[in-house]
Amino acid sequence: MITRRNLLAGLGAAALAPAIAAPALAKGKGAARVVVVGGGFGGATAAKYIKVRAPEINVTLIEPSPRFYTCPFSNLYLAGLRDFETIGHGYDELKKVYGVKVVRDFAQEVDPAAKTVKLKSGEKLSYDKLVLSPGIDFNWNGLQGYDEAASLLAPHSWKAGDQTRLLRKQLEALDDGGVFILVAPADPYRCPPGPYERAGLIASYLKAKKPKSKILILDSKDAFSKQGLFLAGWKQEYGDLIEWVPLSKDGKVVKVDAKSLTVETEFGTTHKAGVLNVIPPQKAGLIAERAGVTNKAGWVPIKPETFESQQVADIHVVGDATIAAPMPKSGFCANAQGKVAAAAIVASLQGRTTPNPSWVNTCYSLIGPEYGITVAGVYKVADGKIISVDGSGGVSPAAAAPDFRKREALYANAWYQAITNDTWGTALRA
Amino acid sequence: MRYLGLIAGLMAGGMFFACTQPTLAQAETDVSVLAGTCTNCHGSNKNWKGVIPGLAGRPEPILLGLLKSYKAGDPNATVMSRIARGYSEDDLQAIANYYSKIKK
Repeated sequence: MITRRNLLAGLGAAALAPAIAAPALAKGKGAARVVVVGGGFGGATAAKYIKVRAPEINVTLIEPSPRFYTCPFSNLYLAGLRDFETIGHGYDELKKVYGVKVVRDFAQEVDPAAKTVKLKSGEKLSYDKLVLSPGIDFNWNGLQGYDEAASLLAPHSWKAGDQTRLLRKQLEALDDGGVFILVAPADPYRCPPGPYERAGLIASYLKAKKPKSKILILDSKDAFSKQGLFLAGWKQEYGDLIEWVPLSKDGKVVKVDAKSLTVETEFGTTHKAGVLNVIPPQKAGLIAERAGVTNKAGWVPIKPETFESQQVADIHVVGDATIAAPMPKSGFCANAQGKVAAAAIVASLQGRTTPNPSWVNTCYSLIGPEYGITVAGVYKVADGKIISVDGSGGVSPAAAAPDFRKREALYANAWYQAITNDTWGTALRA
Repeated sequence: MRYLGLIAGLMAGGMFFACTQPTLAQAETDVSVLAGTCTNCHGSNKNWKGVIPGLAGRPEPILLGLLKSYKAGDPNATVMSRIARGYSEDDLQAIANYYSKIKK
């Protein structure tokens, strides 16, 4: 059991640092209150690291689900290579080890003037600082015919959970010879390499179990993350099992008929699927819009140094909902942004200067269970903008020995274990 | 308590570094922020036994040597050469010092 005294003892020098009360806290209000909405990679990390840096701050995490299922590694589950529960993470350790108060509820409204968050249950929580990590929501009917009802027939599986299990069931029921169609969206969207990793891993399943089947990717764009590596890897591992149809070759789907599992492209070609996976156009999660932090395009402009909203004071937003290019919308970035926001929030509440931010991203993707590729980047702020540090980052080499690909696959698994532990847990897990 | 050692240590390391500066207010680069994302792959448990090795308490010269060799383009590296190139020599020195100071 962690007590505050233990923590302070552990913090050593930090405990000696004078905590200068911020003006807002100097009025006898007691400890500062931070409310975090969303318990994914961004929110859970922000909540944890605020407590690590300043255990005296009251941190309340609002999350409707008892367990968070990650999109990263959900493609392994879809391919039958991982059990579903291995991509689920609970909140016990955030509660018990770090003292985060976790409230199982749904944040419905934010009043930035009164600095309160209203929950579905009717409860109102006051905050000094609010962190929103709402992830994405979908622009239902942004793609004609694709709404929430359609997603029960043609799943998106772009939020992990029931949708992921539904797609797996459909793949299991697919006839040998049936076509799996994946409709890939235009930028920006959550996890740029995700659709392509999904295609490769599902190909590994089909090759083994349903060798007459094919995968058709109908894409709304002409270029995608790690494209050269994916195309070469697919060819090597699966021959012509995967066909990628870019925008310029009439790959853009403009209409979905989920009942008949049929899609229509820009120039009127129809394709019928055995299993249809539609990744629709996206925007920031609903609470961001309700809090007034989104722009016209539905995403959240932030101040790079702190990830505070550009539009509303004292609301920090992290993760996929934000406009943080050149950082991609990845779980790795959400975690990194959560840490930077946590440091900035604690510094502000303690009346200290905001520390310089620094972020890294590494996106591991699997072409097959033993074939991994990566894209990485190191980011900092220059002239008020997030930039990729010159000379850093990039993708795995195009020419690499099988051992290199195998090591990157091994490291992908190690990364998942480390980041989920860093975000939700402290205990070593198998 | 065993769980918290590294995390608290991590942040303490950052502050420790900051405290070696003339004053806290001038410490614009907090090493705990600079080094914060290492744990995304290397684990945030001080006894991390992942395939990607933990960093806590490893000798500074070894950590620094590795980081410098990655920055120089170590052919045996996978992603670390691409990451290490994003930091100055001073940054790498500070990160190596930071992780070496965490007591296991």
